[in-house]
Amino acid sequence: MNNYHVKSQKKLTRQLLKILLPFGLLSIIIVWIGVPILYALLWSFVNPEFPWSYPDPFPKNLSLFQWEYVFKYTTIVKSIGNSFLLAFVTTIVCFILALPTAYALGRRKLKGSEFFKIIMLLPMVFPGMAMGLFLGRMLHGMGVSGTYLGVVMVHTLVSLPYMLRILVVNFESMPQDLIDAASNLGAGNWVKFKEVYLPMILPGLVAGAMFTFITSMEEFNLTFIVGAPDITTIPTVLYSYLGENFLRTRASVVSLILLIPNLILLIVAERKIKTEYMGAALGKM
Amino acid sequence: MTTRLIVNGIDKTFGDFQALSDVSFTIEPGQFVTLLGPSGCGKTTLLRVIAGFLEPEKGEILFGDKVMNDVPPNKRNTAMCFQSYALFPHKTVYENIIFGLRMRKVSADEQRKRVKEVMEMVDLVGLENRKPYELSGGQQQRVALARAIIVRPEILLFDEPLSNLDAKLREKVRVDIRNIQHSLGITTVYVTHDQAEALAISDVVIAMNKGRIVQKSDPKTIYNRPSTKFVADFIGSANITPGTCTEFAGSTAVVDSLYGVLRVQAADLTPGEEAFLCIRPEDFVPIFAENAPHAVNVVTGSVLHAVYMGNSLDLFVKVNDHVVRISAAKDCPIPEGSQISFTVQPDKICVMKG
Ligand SMILES: Nc1ncnc2c1ncn2[C@@H]1O[C@H](COP(=O)(O)OP(=O)(O)OP(=O)(O)O)[C@@H](O)[C@H]1O
Ligand SMILES: [Mg+2]
Repeated sequence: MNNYHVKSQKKLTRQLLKILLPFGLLSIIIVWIGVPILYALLWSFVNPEFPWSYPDPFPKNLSLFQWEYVFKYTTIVKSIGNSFLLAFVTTIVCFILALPTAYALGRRKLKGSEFFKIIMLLPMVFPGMAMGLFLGRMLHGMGVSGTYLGVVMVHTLVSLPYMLRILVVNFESMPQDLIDAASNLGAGNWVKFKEVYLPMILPGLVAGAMFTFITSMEEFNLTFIVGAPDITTIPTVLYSYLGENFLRTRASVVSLILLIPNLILLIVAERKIKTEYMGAALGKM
Repeated sequence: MTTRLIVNGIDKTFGDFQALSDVSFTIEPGQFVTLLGPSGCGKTTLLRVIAGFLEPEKGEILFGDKVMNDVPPNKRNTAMCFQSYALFPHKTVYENIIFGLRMRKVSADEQRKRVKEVMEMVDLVGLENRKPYELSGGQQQRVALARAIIVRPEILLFDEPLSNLDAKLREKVRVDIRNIQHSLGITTVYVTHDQAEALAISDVVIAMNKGRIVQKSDPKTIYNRPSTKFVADFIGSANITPGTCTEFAGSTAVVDSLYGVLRVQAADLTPGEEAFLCIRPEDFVPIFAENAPHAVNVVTGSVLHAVYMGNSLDLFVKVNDHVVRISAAKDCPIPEGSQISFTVQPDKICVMKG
């Protein structure tokens, strides 16, 4: 009787946990991500003539003033264009560099490839500022600081590890039998690439491109050191409002401009990966 | 265009593990050959060498009189049905099956015709537009089979193509494979674990062990005249006993074995020589009072177990502390624990030297 009681109580606890755990996680995520976005939104609409100060839970008066100001009187439009252009070009360059490298590291049994796999991850762990200072000098010496080329180079450097890592794993996990089957049925190298390798790494490619794009969009340290003052991007504009002339309202506008496209990209890519490729990649083999 | 396949002195090592040692055999044009052997003995490795995915350290592969060692896999005109299926996961069943035809630039009409034929053969009609992960294991295996067969290459390589099918379907598909292969005259190497299957469909059976070929014979010979203990034991069930020849006259030897003294028809045994005897369970015949009072090779023992197998009654009989297996007629009235005598004809005993 007593035993039964304990058991049913345990069961109840477990069921409660099943409900509470996801609920708890969900609320943490909402607080973590939702609240800052909400605040940024509210701040971006604050009317400067009615400042929003401590005891008020909400701004007294909302207006589009800051949005209009940012778009009319700052370099933001050009910076948005720059950011997208740089992210786009960086993604393509990363793709072109990563594909053959990842193939070689993932499919060929090369001497030293294990070593190289670690080396290629190093840019991920170097502090951006530290790397930026020395790299900035080097690029200056090469005469590419302040140019798009220079910025694309540093963006590629910081995003390439993500792309490489994902693609190497993709290539490594491809069953050899599959490649052999294609050869066996008469496929040459080009057909093998187009009809076997490429579709199989597509999920990784999409994920890698997404990482690269977002990394490039958000990169500040190196962009600033190499690009400023000629090349401004959304983050460099944003940081300029976080410095001495700190303007929370304007910073909110810019951070939303940075956040929204990335968020949309993330959601779209995520859906696309799930529906189109996951099935193929995870199909029982 | 049927092709002779010659495998000549192949060695293949992985690191310091020797997967194939001096493998040589010839398969005549249009023959159906089965590779039979325990797991890990090198069957898949041998197929991969023939298909060209693996380069042997030594030896040659010839298709007809062409040496194939330097010909890349996509130029070899073989089609392999993989043990792991190796279906393209992002392609539909239909796209998987026509892949080989597309590579060979077969006309669209011909493609459709052949797909229809082969889909019917492997019983996949209606699943054309599924992706591999939407199929059961057995269905995936049949797609793999169809993808290889449809190509009609010079040489077909099957790596356990029916292992995942139920007994009925397996028998049907096996007959279909044999018919297609026969009518097109495609030289075929077929790997299986299933010795009954090997005996049923092959022109020639090759028994392998530890990377070596142990015996290559037609099914009857390999079953009735295994050359080694390993083959006797691996193919079917066998009663194996060491024995010493005590007398040899004409073509009959007298051998002292664990089951007693047996008269054996043998080509060459000298008195004093040691060998192994193999006796198939169905070659032992129980003796009742009414039949054959003058029978030779009479062995007596007590029945430990009688197992009803459906098509036979298998008796496990204790003879001189050794267990002998006998397949008796299924309605034989022999209870467990009883004493029985049984006999075996001298020409049904196979002598093995190793
Ligand atoms: N790439 C490889 N590297 C190292 N060893 C290998 C490799 N491929 C196969 N082997 C070894 O070679 C031996 C033969 O393998 P193989 O796949 O040919 O066996 P098999 O006869 O096909 O067995 P099964 O009936 O289980 O499929 C095995 O011991 C296996 O471990
Ligand atoms: Mg195998």
